Formats: sequence, structure tokens, C-alpha cells
Amino acid sequence: MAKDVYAVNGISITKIYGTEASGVTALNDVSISIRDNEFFTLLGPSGCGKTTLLRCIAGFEQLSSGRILLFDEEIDHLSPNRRPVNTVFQHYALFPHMTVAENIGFSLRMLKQGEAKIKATVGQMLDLVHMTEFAGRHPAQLSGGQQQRVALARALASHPKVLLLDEPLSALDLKLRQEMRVELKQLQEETGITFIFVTHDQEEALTMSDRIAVMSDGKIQQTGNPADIYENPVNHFVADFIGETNFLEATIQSVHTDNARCVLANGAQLSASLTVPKEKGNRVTICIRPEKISLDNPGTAAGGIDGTVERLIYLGTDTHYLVQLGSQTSVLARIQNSRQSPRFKPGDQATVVMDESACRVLAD
Amino acid sequence: MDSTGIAQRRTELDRIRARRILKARAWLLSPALLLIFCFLILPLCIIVVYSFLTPGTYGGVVWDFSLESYIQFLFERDFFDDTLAFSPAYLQIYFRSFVQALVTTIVCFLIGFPTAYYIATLPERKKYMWVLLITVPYWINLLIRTIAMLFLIRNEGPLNYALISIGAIDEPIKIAYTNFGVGLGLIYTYLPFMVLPLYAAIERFDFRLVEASYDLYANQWTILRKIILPLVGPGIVAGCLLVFIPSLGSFIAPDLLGGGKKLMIGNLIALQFQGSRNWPFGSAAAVILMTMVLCALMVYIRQQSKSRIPLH
Ligand SMILES: Nc1ncnc2c1ncn2[C@@H]1O[C@H](COP(=O)(O)OP(=O)(O)OP(=O)(O)O)[C@@H](O)[C@H]1O
Ligand SMILES: [Mg+2]
Repeated sequence: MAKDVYAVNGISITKIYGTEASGVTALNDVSISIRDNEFFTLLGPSGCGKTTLLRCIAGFEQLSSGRILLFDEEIDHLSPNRRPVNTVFQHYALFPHMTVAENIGFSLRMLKQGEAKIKATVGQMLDLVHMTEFAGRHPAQLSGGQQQRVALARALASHPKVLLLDEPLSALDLKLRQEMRVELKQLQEETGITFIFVTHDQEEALTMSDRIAVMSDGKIQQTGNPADIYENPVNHFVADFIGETNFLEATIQSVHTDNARCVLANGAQLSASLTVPKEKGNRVTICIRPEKISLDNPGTAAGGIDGTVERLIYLGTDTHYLVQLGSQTSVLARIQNSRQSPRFKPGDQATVVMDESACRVLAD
Repeated sequence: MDSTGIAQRRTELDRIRARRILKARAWLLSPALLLIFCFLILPLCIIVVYSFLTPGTYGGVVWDFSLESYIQFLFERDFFDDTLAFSPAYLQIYFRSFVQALVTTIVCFLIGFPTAYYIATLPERKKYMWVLLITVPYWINLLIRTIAMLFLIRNEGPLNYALISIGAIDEPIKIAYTNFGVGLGLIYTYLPFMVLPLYAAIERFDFRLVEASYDLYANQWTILRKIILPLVGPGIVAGCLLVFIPSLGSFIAPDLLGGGKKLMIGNLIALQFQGSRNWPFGSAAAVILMTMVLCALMVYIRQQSKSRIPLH
């Protein structure tokens, strides 16, 4: 089989702002492979280097070391105006002295296309983002959501190979944001352009992406599809950053092919899936999502761990139970309020059942 | 009443209210308008009228209509046979003033732009201090400042003294009473008028637009032409006008630093009211200057309104 061609292939990218000696390391040996036609999301907390990575791909920053390939071609020596990569900026950066149509046609004019062709493309783009009736307005006369669409259309007009979007939805209110999520995803599918989307909103990332790279401290912690990232987090950071998670401190008692028998601080035993190299006696952290935990009346379930219900929060469709397991450990369980599920009150005894497949031993 | 009817009533009411507020706001202008009328429009009318009258023997005017002042501006009347011969003497004064003002404007721009850029890109707190510092010269009377400058640059002044004592020159450099000296004075006087509008324009400019256009395949030259100049341009024009117009008619610097030897428009006009006692000719000279400036401004405003754009 031929070697995979990636839309963007970053190899050991390091970016240090300032001098080598006293600089900020914004990207630390980041390698990333983004496929063609992919909706790829960079997810991470503020300051983790997401914008920096986008700026490196767009050409606004010089790499301290490493290489970036665009469809197998070196682009390191190309300035931003020579890269077939466009950016939708967080603050849109629309040209205030141009109309919506002029903004959208800007890149085409720069590429010296004919006026007739420009007009046709601008028309298509206006249509694509439902802004046809606003073609003659200036950016100052548009709402935030409309400006956002224009920014999108402007970046898409020249049909770049890759579109970079730096938190394009963060300036919108919740309702508009939710609508735009759907539209963006549709737009990506319609145009077939590779989208690299930056966000620090995990819900946005999970609902829109084909694949997600979780970043922190200038490093990529994990890359995978949304289900993979959510259900099989590799480390403490990823598990904690995405969704709610229970972390249980444990010691490995015995290691099998793909699982391990562990002992919790209170002496209770449980099995957890193991995909990272660990040995007997290692102190490890096990993570389990609250919705993967079930609660039973004491004595009915085998292999459960007994505990005491400490607090509960009723949320209509589910109830959140905080269950105390011994003195130091407690777990949060999210139980659907179906007809069969048992109900508990604070102080009740309950058996916590955690499936082996739902428990994961984390790398760190 | 149905809801659209109510909505229409509402917008109608809003419109009436808006109009009333606009009317009330116009009153805020009335003190300024009164001042402008008393001290600008009225004197202007007087000057225009005087320029068409006959000079009195000891200054003042005689109420006889005459075009003599305007004829005198372009022609020399022969003493004996009253024939007119074209004489460019006064046009030369206007041309000299025009060049002087132009050079002043260009130099002010060359010094002012980097200064304004520097201040505009400073952190917020420092900006205001610098803007305040720019206005410091205006805390002192212009006449005093110009005399101080004359003192500095004259042949026996500290500048020449210092240069001679360090051996850089043997003879004092003649700066005072030259065109160069006048230019120096004009630049010094009007530089802040250039810096402040430029600063305001650059301060408002969003440098992220440069990145955005660079990303969209524009090269540096196009970015300057299509993005930076259209957005900073009005500030540049304002600064240039604010320097050029007053330099053109300036009086103090040419009079003191030029020693009144090479006449500028300002001196010419002043002379007609003092020494020559030819008020109508002084008025005509002022009217001609004003007409020239107004024409230039008209052209500029016409262009501005053509490319008028809402910003922010
Ligand atoms: N021009 C710069 N000079 C120096 N340090 C910088 C510069 N730009 C970014 N940094 C630093 O690099 C690190 C990564 O910044 P970056 O803007 O990439 O973060 P981010 O993930 O986009 O964060 P956010 O979600 O807040 O936008 C931060 O520590 C930041 O302070
Ligand atoms: Mg960012």
C-alpha cells in the first residue's frame, strides 16, 4: 500500500516565542497528521498552544524546529499569501471599508481572477452562508453571527485546500453557537475542504469532529475520534478535561493480557482494562465515567463494592449519586430515572457496580 | 388593533421622538455657531467687501467700488501712461509660501508618522502620557517660543557657539533669517497638528487586518494600498491639511525667523495693514489665499464623500 498522503502533516513541530534561552515554549515537539476532507479539532485549555499551531500552519509563525507538509509538499519556505490555506479568525478581521461582497471576493481579486468569475463565486458563497441579501452592506452593519458567516465565506471563496478556524464560534451566544455548529459541519461536508477547528469547548469538539486532538502545555495528549477520546482516554489530563470522570487510586495486584486486578484504598477489589505497560505493585489511577456506574440494593449484585449514599442531585432524566466507598474514596454515579432503576436516599447502603470494560487504568 | 398595527405605531412614535431629540441636540451647537458668526463670518464679509473698495490715504477705506486691488495683484500699472504690465511679484510670494508650506507638511509627515506610530502602539497607560507630552509646547505662547528659537539659532546663539567650540565649524552657520530658519520654525510650530490626527488614525487601525489580508493572498504592496491606506488615509489627509493650511498663511515664523526679508503671504498681508496702509489690497490678498485653500478643500471633500464608508 502506498504511503498515506495527509492534508497536513506536522513533524516534530516546536515553537518557542522569544529567545531559545528565555522563551515561552508554545509547542513542544508536536507531531500531527490530518487527513484530507477531515473535520479535525484541536481541543485544549487556554494557553495550550492551539492558536500557535494554527498560525504555524497558516505561515504567520516561523517554526523553531520541525516541518510541516501540505499534501506531501514542504511549505515551510512559503509566506502566508502563498499557502493554499485560509484562516477564519476568532475576531473575524473583516475589512471594515469593504462591503460583504467585496470582503468575500478579496482573495479572488488577489489571485487575479476575472471579474465575471469573481462575481459568480461571490454569489455562490453568499448563497452558501445565506447572506445574499446582505451583499451590499458593510461589516459594521451586521450582527455577530452574520459577520461570522461572512468571515467563513471570505475564507472559503478561493477554495483553499485547508481551512483553519480559530474558535470561530466563541463570540456568539449559546443558541446561535449551536445553530452554527450544525451549519459549519454541513459546510465542511458540502465543500469537502479539510477543516482544522480550534476550540476549548469539549461539547463543540465532540459533536462536530471526525477526529480530535487534545492538547495541553504545548503537547498533543491524545488523538482519536470523539468516542475514542471520550471512552478511552489515555491519561489523567484527557479523562479530566473531557466530560465528568471518577478517578480512583489503586494498586495493581495482578496483570493479565488486557486487564488488571486492582485494590482500592479501602481494600475493595476491582478489574480494569489495561492498555498501558504496568506491573504488579504499581500505584495507578483508574478512571470511570459516572454513567457507566450502576447502583444496586446491597446483597443483590456479585462483585460490587459496598458504599453509603452521601448526597444526591435529582436532574429529571437522571439522578447523580455521590457514594462513599470507605474513608477516602467516593464515586459519582449518574443513574437514569427509568422505571426499573432502584432509588436511594442519603444514608442508604448501596452496592456500586463498575464493569471491567468501563474502568481504565491510566498511563499517568 | 392587530400587532403589526401596533408595531407601526411604535416605529412612528420612535421616529417622532428621534426627530425631537435631534432638534434638541441642535441647540447644543448654538454657542459655537454664535461665536463663529461673530468672529468668523462677519469679519470675513468685511474683508471681502473691503477688498473691492479704494484705499484711504492714512489707512482705512474709501467707499468707492474698485477692482484695483485684484488688478494690482497680477499687474503693474505704469506710472505715466496707466498701461498694465503683467508682474509676477505677488504670485511669486504665493508660490514661495506654497513651497514652504508643502515642504513643512512633508517634513512634518516624515517626522510625525513614525512618532504617531510609536505612540499608537504603546501600552494604553503610556499612550496618554505621550499624547499629553505632544501638547506641551502649546502651554507656552507661540511668540515666546519663536523668539526662543531665534535666540537658539542666530549666529551668536548657543547652537553656533557650541558647534564652533567643539571645532565642528569655523564660521557660524547662518540659519536665522533664511528660508531654512523659517521652515524650521514652521515645522516646530505645526508638528503636533500632524502627530495627533495620525496617532488617532493609527490607534484605531486593527493590525489583525494586515494578517487577514496576507492570509488571503495579498502581497505587502497591496496590503499597504488596499487595507492600510484606505483606513489610515483620512488621518493622513487631516494631518496634512492641519499643517499645510496654517503654514501657508503663517505670520510669526516668517516674520521673526525670516527677518521679513523674503515675504510670505502672511507678511504681505500684515504689511498692507501696517506699513503700506493699503487695506483693500491686504483684504484682496487674504481673499485670494482663502479662495485657493477653499478650492483645494472642496476637491478633497468631494472625493471623501464619494468614497464615504461607515467604520466600526
Ligand atoms: N507572540 C507571543 N509571544 C510570546 N508568547 C506567546 C505569543 N503568543 C502566544 N504566546 C504564548 O504561547 C502559549 C500558547 O499560546 P496560544 O495563543 O497558542 O494559546 P491558545 O491555546 O490558543 O489559547 P487560547 O485558548 O486562550 O486562545 C501561551 O503561553 C502564550 O502566552
Ligand atoms: Mg487561541
